Amino acid sequence: MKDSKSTKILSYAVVAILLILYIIPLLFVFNVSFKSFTDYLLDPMGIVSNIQWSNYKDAWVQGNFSNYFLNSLLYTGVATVLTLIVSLFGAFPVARGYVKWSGFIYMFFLLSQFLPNPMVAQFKLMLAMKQELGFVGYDTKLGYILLKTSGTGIVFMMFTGYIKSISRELDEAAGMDGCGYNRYLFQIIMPLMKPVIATGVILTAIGIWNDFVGPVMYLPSPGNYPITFGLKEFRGQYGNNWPMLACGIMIVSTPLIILYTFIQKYIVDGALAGAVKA
Amino acid sequence: MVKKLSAVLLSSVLLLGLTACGGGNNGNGASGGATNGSSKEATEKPASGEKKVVKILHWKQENINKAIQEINKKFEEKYPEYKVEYTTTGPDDEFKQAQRARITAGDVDVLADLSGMRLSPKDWTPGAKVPDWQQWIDSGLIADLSDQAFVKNYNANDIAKAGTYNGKVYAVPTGKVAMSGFFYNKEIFEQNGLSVPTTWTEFIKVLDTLKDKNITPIVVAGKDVWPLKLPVFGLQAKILGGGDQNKWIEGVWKGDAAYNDAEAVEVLDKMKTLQDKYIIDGFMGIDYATAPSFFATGKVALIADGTWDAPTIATANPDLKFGYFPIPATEDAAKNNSLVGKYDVTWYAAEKGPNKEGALKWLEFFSEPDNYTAYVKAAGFLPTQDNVQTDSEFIDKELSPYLGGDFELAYEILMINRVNVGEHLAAEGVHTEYLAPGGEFKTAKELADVQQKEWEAAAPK
Amino acid sequence: MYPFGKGLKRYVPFLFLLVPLVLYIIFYFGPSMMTVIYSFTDIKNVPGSELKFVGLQNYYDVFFSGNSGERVDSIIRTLYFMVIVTIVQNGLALLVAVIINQKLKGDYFYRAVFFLPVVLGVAVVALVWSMMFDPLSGPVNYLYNALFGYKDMFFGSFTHAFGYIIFVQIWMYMGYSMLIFLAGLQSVPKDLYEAGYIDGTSKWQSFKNITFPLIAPSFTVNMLLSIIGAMSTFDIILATTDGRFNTRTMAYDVYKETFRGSLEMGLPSALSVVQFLIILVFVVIAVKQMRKREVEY
Repeated sequence: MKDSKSTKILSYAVVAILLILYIIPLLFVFNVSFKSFTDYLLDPMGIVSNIQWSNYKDAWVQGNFSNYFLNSLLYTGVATVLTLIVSLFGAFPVARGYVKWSGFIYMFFLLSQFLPNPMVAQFKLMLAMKQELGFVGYDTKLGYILLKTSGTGIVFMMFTGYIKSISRELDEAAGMDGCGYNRYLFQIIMPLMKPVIATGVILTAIGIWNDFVGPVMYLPSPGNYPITFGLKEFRGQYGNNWPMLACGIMIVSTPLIILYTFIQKYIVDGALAGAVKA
Repeated sequence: MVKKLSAVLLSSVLLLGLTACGGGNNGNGASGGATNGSSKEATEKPASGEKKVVKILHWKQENINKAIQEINKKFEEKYPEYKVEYTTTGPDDEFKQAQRARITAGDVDVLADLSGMRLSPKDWTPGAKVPDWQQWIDSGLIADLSDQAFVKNYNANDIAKAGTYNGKVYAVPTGKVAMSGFFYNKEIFEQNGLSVPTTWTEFIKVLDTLKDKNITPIVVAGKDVWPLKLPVFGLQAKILGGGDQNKWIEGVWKGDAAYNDAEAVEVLDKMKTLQDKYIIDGFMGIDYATAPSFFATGKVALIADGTWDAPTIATANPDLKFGYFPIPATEDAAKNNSLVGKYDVTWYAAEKGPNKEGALKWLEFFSEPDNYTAYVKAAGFLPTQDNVQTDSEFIDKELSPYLGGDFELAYEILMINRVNVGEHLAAEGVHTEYLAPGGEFKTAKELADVQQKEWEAAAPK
Repeated sequence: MYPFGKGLKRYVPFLFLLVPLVLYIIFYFGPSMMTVIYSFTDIKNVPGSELKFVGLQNYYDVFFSGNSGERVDSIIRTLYFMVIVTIVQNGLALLVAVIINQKLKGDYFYRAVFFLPVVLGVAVVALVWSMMFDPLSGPVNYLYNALFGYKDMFFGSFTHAFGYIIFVQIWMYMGYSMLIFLAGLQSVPKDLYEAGYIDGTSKWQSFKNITFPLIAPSFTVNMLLSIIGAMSTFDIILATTDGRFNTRTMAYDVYKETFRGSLEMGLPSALSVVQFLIILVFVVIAVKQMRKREVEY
C-alpha cells in the first residue's frame, strides 16, 4: 500500500514532536551533569561551556557508587538469570500441556500480576527466614535475590506464548532420537527463543536494577545497598545540587542503556508477539 | 485464551477463599518464629569471637552525623572489642519506616527518635493514638535505663520530661531546640533602620518596610510542608488558650475548645497573612535543603527555621551576621518574649537487639561530658546535661534571652491526636499549606471548619 | 503425547515446574493470602503482640472512620489515574506504532528512544522530571514564563501535581505499549492489506476493518497491563510528591499505611484486599469488552 505524501509528512511531524519531548529532558540532564554548581545556578539551561569531568568522579565517590554498583550487578545478574531459567521451567510444560492442569497453572501464575499486595506478610516471612535459617531472608543478599526471582511474571507469559509458536513436531522428533527432557530444554528450545529471551532479560534487569522500594525494606545494611541508594545519598546530603544528581542519574542509567542497545534489535522481532498470541 | 482468562479470574476469587484457610497456620508460625528467634541470635552472635557490632540507626543531618562518627571512632579506640555500624537514612517518613523495620527485626541496638517521648495518651484522651515508642516499651522491646549511671549526667528535669515512662527511664534526650522563630539578617535590618519586632503590629510593619524596599521578607521551605509548621508553633503557643495551649488542647478533647473557635482561627489567619503577603512567591516549590541558601546569600531578610539550622546557615555563608527572634504572635510584648521548641535526637537502647550490652556501653560513652559537649556543639542544640558550655555566641546571645523559665514545648509535642484523624489535622499539625494561594481554602475559617469536622468525625464511637 | 520417555521420566517436567511454583507460593502467593487473613485481625507490626480476629472491623474502618473521606478520595483519584493513563497512553502508543510501522526512515531509532524511559526506571525518571519541573531553575517554568508569562509549582501544587504525575507516568510507559502494538502490527499479514487496497477501501476503513481486529490481542494485553499498572502504581508518587499535594492513590495509601502510618497492620491489609477487588472488576470488564472484538487469524 502506498502512502500519500501528506500522511508521510504528518507522520514525521508527530514523531518529531514526540522525539523532542523524549530527548530534551535527557539532554538537559546530560548537559547539567557537566556543569559546576555555580554555573548551574547562574544559567541552568545554557549549553555547558566549561566541562567539569571531575563531577563524575566526585559523584562516584560521594555517592559510594563503587560498592553499590557491585551489589546491584550481583542482584541484577543473578536474579535475571534465575528468573529466565525458572520461567522456562514453568513455561515449557505449561505451554505444551506436559503436566496435568496446565491451563489452571497458567492462570494461577497469571494471578501473580494483581494479587493483594503481599508486603506485610512478605516482610514477616523474610524476618522469620533470617531468624530460622540465617543465610537467607531479611538483610541478606540471597534473600533479596530469591524475592526478586520470579517464574510467574511477564517473562513466564511471554515464554509460554512463544513456545506455543514453536512446532510440536520438534519435540516429537527429539524424543524419538532419545533426547532427554532437560537437554532438549536447554540445548534445543532455549537457542530457538533468543528474541524472547532478550526481551525477558531487559525487562527483568530493568525491574531489579532500578528497584528502590524493595531494598528499603529488605536490605537495611549499608553493605547491601543497591545502586539506586546512591541517588538518595545525594538528595539527603546535598539538597538540590543538581549537577551531582545529574551525574548520579547518568551513572545509574548507563549500564542498562548499554545493555539495551546491545539487545534492542531482538526485542520486537516477534518476541512480544509471542506474548500477544498467548 | 481470553475466554479462559475471565473464567479463571472469577474462579480465582473462590480459590482465594479456600487457600486463605489453609495458609493461616503457616503465617502465624512464621511470625511467632520471628519473635522467638531474635533472642536466640542475640546470644549466638558475640560467641563467634569476632568484634561485637553495635548497630546504631539515625537519620541524615550532616553536622550531627559527623559529630557522631567522631564519637564512634573514639569509642572503637577505647573499646577495641566493639565495632560500631552507624546507619543513616533519609529523614522523616523514611526514617520512621527504617526504625520500625529494624526494631521489628531485632536488628538495631541504639536507635534515635525525632523527639523525646511525646504524645502518650492521657486519661482525658479516650481513644487516642498510642505512639510507636510506647507500644515498643509495652512490648518489652526497649531497654530500661533507670539504673544506668550515665543517666545521672543529664538534667533530671529533662530526663523526667522526655525520657521517663511509667516511672522508669527508657530514653536519653540529647538536646533541645527552639523552633518558633525566624533567623534574621542583621545587616539588612541595620541598613533599613529596623529593629527586632516585639508585637504583631510591629512585625507587620517591619515586613511592609522590607517589601517597600523591594526586599523579599521571608523564605520558608514549603515543598517539604513541615517547615510551615514552625512559625505556627509560636502562634499556637501564645494564642491558643490565651497563651496556655495545654489548656486549649485538653479543651478540644473535652469539647470546651474547638478547631474553629476564635483563637484557632486567629492562628490560621495570621499565618495566612504571612503566606499571602510576605513569604517569597512560589515558596511551595522550595525544599528544605535549598531554603537556607536564599537567606544566607541575602536574597531574603528572614527565614522561618528551627535553631538547629544555625550551623548550616553559618557554614553556607561564614560572613553572614544573623540573629533569631520568636514570632511576635500577639500585641503583648511580654507574652511574645519566649521561644517554644522540642527535645531533638533522643536515644533508645533496644532490649532485644543483637547487642544490648554494647548499646549501653555506647550510650555511656556518648554521655561522658567531653563527648557529649563535642556532640551538642556540632548539633547546635541546647544541652540537656548541666554544666556544659556550648561556647556558642548564637545560643548565648540570640536564644538565651528567650529561654528563661521552664522550656516550653511546641504544639506538635503536646497535641495528642485521635486515631484516624483527617489529613488537615494529621501528624499533629494544622496544615496551613491547605490555605490559598497554594491550597484550596480561601479563608482561614473554611479550613478551621473542616478541621473541626474531621476532629469530630474521628471521635471514638 | 509426552515424547521424552515413560515411567518415572514422565514426572521430570513436573519436577522442573515445582521450582517456580514453590518460589511463587512461598514469596508471593502465600504472603498475599496471609494479607487477606490479616485483614480480619488486629495484627500489629510489633513483635510479640497478640493477634485477634476482629471480623470486618478493618473494612468498616476503611470506609467509615474519621479519615475515610481521604481514602475514598484516593480511590476516586486512582480511578481517574487509571482511566486517563489507559486511554491516553494506549491511544498515543497505537498512533505511534502505526506511524512507525509504515517504515519511516530511522524507525529503529524512534523505537529505541520511546522505550528509553522504561529502561531508565522510576527513580531516575522521577528525578529527571523533578529537574525539568523545578519551579525555580527548571526549563519548563522558563518556557511557561516566556510563552504565557505564568509560573507553576508543578509537584508542589495542590491542583496540578497529580496531572503532572499522570503526564510522567504516560511519558514513561508509552514506549512499552508502543512495542506491544508494534509486535501486533508486524504479525498482520501484508497480503491482507493488498487485498483491501485493490478493493479501493480508504485508509481509515482498512485500519478499522482489517488492522484493528487483527491487533486486538495486543490491545487486550496493553489494556490489562495499563489497568493493572495504573491501579498498583505508587513508586512514581513516592519519588515525586511522596503523597503530598493531593496525589495519594490507593496503592500509595497501602504502602504508606503499612510502613509509615500506625503500627496497626489490619487496616492496610484490608485496603490491599479492596484494591485487589477493584482491579479484579476492571480486569474482568476489560477482558469481556475486548473479547468481543478479537478475531482469530
